[in-house]
Amino acid sequence: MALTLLSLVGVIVLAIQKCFQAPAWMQGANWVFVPLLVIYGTLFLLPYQAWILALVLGVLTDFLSEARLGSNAVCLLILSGLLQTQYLERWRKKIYAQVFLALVGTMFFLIVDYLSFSLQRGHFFYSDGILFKMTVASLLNAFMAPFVFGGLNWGLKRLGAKLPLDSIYEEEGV
Amino acid sequence: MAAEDSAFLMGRRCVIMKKVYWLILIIILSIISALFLIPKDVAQDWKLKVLEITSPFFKGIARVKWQVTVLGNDLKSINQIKKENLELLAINAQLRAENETFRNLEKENQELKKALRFQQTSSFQLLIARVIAREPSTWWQYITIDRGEEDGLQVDQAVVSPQGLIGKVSAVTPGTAKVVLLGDENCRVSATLEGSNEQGIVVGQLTEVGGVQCRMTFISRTAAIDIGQKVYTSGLGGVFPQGLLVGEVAELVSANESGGFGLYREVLIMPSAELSNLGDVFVVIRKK
Repeated sequence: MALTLLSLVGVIVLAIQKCFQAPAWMQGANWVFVPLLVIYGTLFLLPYQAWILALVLGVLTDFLSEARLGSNAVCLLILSGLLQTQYLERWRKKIYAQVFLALVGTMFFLIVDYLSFSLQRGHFFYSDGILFKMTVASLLNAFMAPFVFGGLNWGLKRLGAKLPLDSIYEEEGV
Repeated sequence: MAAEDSAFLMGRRCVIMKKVYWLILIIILSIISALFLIPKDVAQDWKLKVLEITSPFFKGIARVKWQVTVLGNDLKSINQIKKENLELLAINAQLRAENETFRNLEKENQELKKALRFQQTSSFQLLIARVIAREPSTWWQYITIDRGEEDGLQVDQAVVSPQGLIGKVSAVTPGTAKVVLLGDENCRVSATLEGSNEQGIVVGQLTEVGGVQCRMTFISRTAAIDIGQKVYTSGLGGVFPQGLLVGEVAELVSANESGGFGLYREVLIMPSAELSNLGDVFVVIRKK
């Protein structure tokens, strides 16, 4: 249930990314909301559900973009895998940890995404402008993370979707 | 005994879960591998089909956005409208005067060209289109417009805005078209510098902060270039018609930083069209 609802939210987020241009103050960077959803999925869903969410959102993004089919899915799966550590159960509900994970996660996703882009273009080019765009998008996601995660938790609970990791950790008394 | 059974069942459950996890991971990796193995042409066809299916949705959102913008403009205060009206009247008078001058110049120009037996210069036939979607990634510079094959669009047609060149059509479906923007390195424009015969190729680069900049390469080493000099399409590449404004020179690249081991010069170009804020655009169908 939670996975299905999150996938639907992902479709809406993707449509927003596709239809609404990022404002001028982002200096040429674009919205990068899909990784934020995958980070949420990693924090609150079972690991395999987070992978499925990353795959679904990645493939949908690939179909609506110029990137090679599968490349976004790989980037999101790597991101999800990177965050699935043993410390997750202690950190996932703390706001500072969510901000940190959103910042680092988005930055990591953008680096992998840029490497994938460079690979598809056949050459790699580094400049301050690229780093600046990555930083702006990551900071925005980090700022939004507690609100988005809180909103999603509230929304999913209202719709009757249980978050699997919550249930497991409650059973185990974590 | 009951505790032993429970521990055994828990252990068994863990083993089964681990197997399920591995199975799911293998399935996911197989799907991704299969996606990577799909030939590029086939993938492009699939993407265009997806675009065609989803285009009514994007067109609907674009229409709503447009109506909201119009409504927002209507809600401006009367004072603001009065102020704008006065400004517009002043601009109108200025434009009329300029228009008259340009008309005279055009007439004179045509007469001179006729006299020199050159082919008569004429303007382009343009088709207005609305931007309905943008590339969801930061690195790719593409937009989708609400006109397609049914409107007479073809691949490689130039796309312009009132400010200047935007890019070219890269793919078409019956109802939509993808446009590769000037800021993308897949959009290469044969260009010339204003007031000289210097030729070069304008290539997009997304490495700069802010407005997308382009790099003009293959300019002669001896060329005299000034900052602010305008860049126009030369028409030599066969894709873009001659005389479309591309942008202006923003920065001269030093010989050390230029490519080609100093054999040619390079300059950075700021596109005249605001590529990050596109609403309505025009596709150059053909010359009148």
